Amino acid sequence: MTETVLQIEGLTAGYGAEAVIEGMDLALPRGKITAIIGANACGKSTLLRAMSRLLRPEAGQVLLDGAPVHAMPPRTLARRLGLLPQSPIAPEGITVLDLVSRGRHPHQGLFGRWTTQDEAAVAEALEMTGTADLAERLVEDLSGGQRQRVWIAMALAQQTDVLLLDEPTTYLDINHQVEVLDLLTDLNRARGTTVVMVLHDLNLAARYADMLVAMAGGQVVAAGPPAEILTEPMLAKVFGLTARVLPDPVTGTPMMVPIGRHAAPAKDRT
Amino acid sequence: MRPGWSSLRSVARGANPAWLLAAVAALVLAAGLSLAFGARVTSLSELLSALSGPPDTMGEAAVASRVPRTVLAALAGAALGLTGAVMQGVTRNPLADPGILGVNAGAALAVVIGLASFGLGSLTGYILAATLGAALSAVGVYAIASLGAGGATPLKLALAGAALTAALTSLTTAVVLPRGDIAGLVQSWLVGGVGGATWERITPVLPFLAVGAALSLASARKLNLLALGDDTAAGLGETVWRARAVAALGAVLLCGAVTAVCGPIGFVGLVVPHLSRLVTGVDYRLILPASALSGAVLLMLADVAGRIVARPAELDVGIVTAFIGAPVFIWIVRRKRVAAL
Repeated sequence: MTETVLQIEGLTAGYGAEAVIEGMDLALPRGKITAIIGANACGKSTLLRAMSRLLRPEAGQVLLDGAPVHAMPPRTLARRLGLLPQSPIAPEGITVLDLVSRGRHPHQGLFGRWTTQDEAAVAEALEMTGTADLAERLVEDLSGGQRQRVWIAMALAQQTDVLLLDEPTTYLDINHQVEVLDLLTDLNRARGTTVVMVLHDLNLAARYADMLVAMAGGQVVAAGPPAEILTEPMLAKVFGLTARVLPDPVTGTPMMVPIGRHAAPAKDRT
Repeated sequence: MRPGWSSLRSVARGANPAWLLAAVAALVLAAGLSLAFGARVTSLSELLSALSGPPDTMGEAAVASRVPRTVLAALAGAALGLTGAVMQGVTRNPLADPGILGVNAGAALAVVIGLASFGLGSLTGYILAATLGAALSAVGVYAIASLGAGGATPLKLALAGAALTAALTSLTTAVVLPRGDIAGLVQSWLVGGVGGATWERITPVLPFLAVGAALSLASARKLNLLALGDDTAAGLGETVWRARAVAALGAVLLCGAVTAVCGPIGFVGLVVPHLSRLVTGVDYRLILPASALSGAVLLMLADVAGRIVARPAELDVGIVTAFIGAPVFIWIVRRKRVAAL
């Protein structure tokens, strides 16, 4: 039995009168990679926003190591839980180094004195994400994959035990998607950082995550190791999709292949 | 150590001494010009002797009378430059300016209502009315822009500001029109100028400027985080609404105080932060002081220009800044990446 780092109890959250998530319970394991999957508008991002206190729950609570996150001073929380939103904004003309340095904010005192500790954290974050050579470059001049590595470097400089990411691979080419997920795995293995992310690509999610959380209609449909979660009945239930699930030829993790209405073996085509 | 890491310190510590020197030199030069030029042009020796002792000649007296005017221009310019930079940071809007967001118009309306209905007499009364008007219109423009989906986006803020400015300006006219007794006074005040400055008019403003400047400058690091988007700023431990409110309060105090003494002066708050950014880059810990410095220089120079072009009469500084500001406004709008502030 693994230890729980984030505990969600009876969580109801949403925007305005509409509750997107209703009465959700979920426990996320420490030091693991968890991927949240589900169709659009199923409440994945809402869950992530509630966990990182961007959204105040209407009922229930989120506990980080047993303490409710919505009662914590924001900077205290920011030293323990990092967040990479779906579309962060890089101001025009900002350098990689400046952006990554801003990740140190929750560790700095009232006057923001720059310490050797800050310097070491930024240097390590650049090193780990392979962006040290880009330090002087402008963020707007980088490729999508490089830019995402820079944002992850900023989150690393924050030095939190838990890192939440909202669709870190969206809008990236497939090679950069793999690069980003490899990097997050490195981070998880080297530092024991708990990674919780919303992912769209089910096969990549099954390959990289220790635990999958499948959501539909603001509820957790199933949560557990990918082999138990990424199944044909689950795909039908969560996505309304008929698909085959096969072992991934590279890793043996489950891999799904959608069927669709026009599927026919290639040899039958003329 | 790899190349590049050495600059970690410069990112954190900031200012390039060469630029700082240049800015201070520009400040001194602009102040010198402001003291020397006017209906009567004074020589350098007259200028220096007027500054070092009691005035003996006509020229020296002219210089002495220009000292408060120069100080007011410098203070107002610094305050407006700072206000513009803070407002651009708070709203993440490159077009934010107390003029464009309707904050000046709100301050002006409040002062005019005070004059027309409450017989406002003292300068402190003007300042309080202007600050209240500025605050109300700032809250109003933000509330209007926050309506509907997506919150207060830069575009909605600019549109709401334009609409509010139009409405407030009409209201100001409506208040003044039936009041022939105050029309002349209001008319000259509404143009915006630093002429006729005296120490008695400057002193009451100083506490407001001091508090406003302190709140604004203390917000620099928070503005750096807001620049990354609200979600990222919150993820880094910032309470976004509070950071915005404190910085905006500083800006409102500055612009309310300036408007009370000088009338609404447009475009300085828009132009100056953009010019400063060209030199300082994206760090608000540098942008804010640089905007204050260059705002002071710009307004002093604009005031000098206003005295020279229409000699022996004078052009109010608010008209000169509009001449300088309008082309810069168009330049900013036409720049391709304007939305990415």
